Amino acid sequence: MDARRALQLGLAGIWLLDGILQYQSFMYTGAFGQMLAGTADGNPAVIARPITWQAGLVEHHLVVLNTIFATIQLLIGLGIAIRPTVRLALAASIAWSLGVWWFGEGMGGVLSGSASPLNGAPGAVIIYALLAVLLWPADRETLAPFPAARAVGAHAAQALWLVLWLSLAYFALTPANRAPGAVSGMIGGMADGQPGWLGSLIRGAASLVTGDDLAVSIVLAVALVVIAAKVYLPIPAAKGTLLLAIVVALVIWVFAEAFGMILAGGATDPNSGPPLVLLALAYWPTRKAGKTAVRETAA
Amino acid sequence: MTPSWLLDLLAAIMLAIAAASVARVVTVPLATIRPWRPVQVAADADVVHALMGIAMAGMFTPSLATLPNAAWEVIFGLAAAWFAGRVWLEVRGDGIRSTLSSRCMLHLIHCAAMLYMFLALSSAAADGSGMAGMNMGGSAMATLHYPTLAGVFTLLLIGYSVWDLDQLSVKRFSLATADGPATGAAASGRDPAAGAFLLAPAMQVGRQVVLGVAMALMLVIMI
Repeated sequence: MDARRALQLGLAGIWLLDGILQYQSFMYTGAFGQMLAGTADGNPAVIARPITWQAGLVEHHLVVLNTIFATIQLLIGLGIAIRPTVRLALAASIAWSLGVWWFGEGMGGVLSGSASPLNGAPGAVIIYALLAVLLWPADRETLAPFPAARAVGAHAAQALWLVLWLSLAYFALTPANRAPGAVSGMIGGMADGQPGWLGSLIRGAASLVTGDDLAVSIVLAVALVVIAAKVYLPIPAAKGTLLLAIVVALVIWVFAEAFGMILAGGATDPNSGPPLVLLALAYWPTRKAGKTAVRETAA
Repeated sequence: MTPSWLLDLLAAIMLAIAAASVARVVTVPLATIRPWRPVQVAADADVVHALMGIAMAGMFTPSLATLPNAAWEVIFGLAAAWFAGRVWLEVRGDGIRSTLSSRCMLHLIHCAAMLYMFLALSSAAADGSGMAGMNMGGSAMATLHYPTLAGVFTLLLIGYSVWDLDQLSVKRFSLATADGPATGAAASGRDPAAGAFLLAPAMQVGRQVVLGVAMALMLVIMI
């Protein structure tokens, strides 16, 4: 199967999971509206006011609106999985992601200073939108060096990669995230309500980094800068940084995001781990790129 | 909690799936049943789909519950063992790589997920929740054992559903039977067009997708 199509199916799976999670019992309680309203905290008034208004609307028409939200996400997932509707579904996913990013995630805390790579910054759903753009079924470059370059071109794709990972490195070092106890507190706070083995794993990780929060933030930021530098590296080194990106995304997903809290109930999405892994795979060099690089080296 | 009208709607869809599966079993000419052929008419899969539809309708809407949980545990335990046997035969014949994408593996996962759900419901009831289906809202949450398994089954079911939808949209699964438009149905005097529609592999896969998504939804509600 074509690599881009496989990645589209991965994105479809994530949307389908999001839709199914949105049908959970928890989402039909007042807690969902309160969760939405909570994302307004710390944001500028121009961002926060619409969030508060929309959260109130959801609380008043909870059953109808939540069912619509869940169904839209389910249809986006199904639409991406069915080839004739993939463009329509990807376009819808971009529009829906932008709406959810603002009204459901408070723009991932980017403007409130609470964003951290450990809590899903810059917002899982905005990474969905980025994936939808990069995996759009068009071919701007016939000999694209990696699947993400096919739709938007290699330069634009590389610029997007650089911006995303450098911004994550920046968020890792903001005052709120490098403060004493910030990292260990964030990780330890995810243990509640998890299955025993996962709770123990998370508590173990939290105690491991306790007292070394600043060092952990610096190491994480350095790793994220190295990943961002992938765009300037030759293919073998670029593959190494992509593997590092996948490992970092998975470590964050397990220890800091607790699989998006899915196993504890009440999760709206699997958080940023899986979409970051998909993104890294979308930048994996194609065989054609490898052959071209070998030819250039030989010449 | 998840609104009861939504669960009732899902129960109705499950019953429709069960009815279509039963119709398919009735329509299949005995001579064409070849359970060892992967994407052909497979009566065992149809029977299991019918049972799953009936069982899940009862889980979504307790008033539609037909058998006690213990009976469903035995049924889906046996079904899982049957498909595990078929998977084992495939592994011996074609190797493990091709088996991962085989229909039998998917049927095995569906049966195992159903078995897990009924075991979870039984243990929740034994723990004092007194539940028989999903309409209790999140009451299963506090007593659900091994939620990690529920998460794993959910991801597997979603993965297979997405894959099947992609394969359906490239018409890997035919909308006509391999042996022509339901020859057996024509011979027996039934409408051959309706028979062909029911017997088409694509219809079976389509039902599998609906069951997979519904099962994933049920598992997520149980978490």
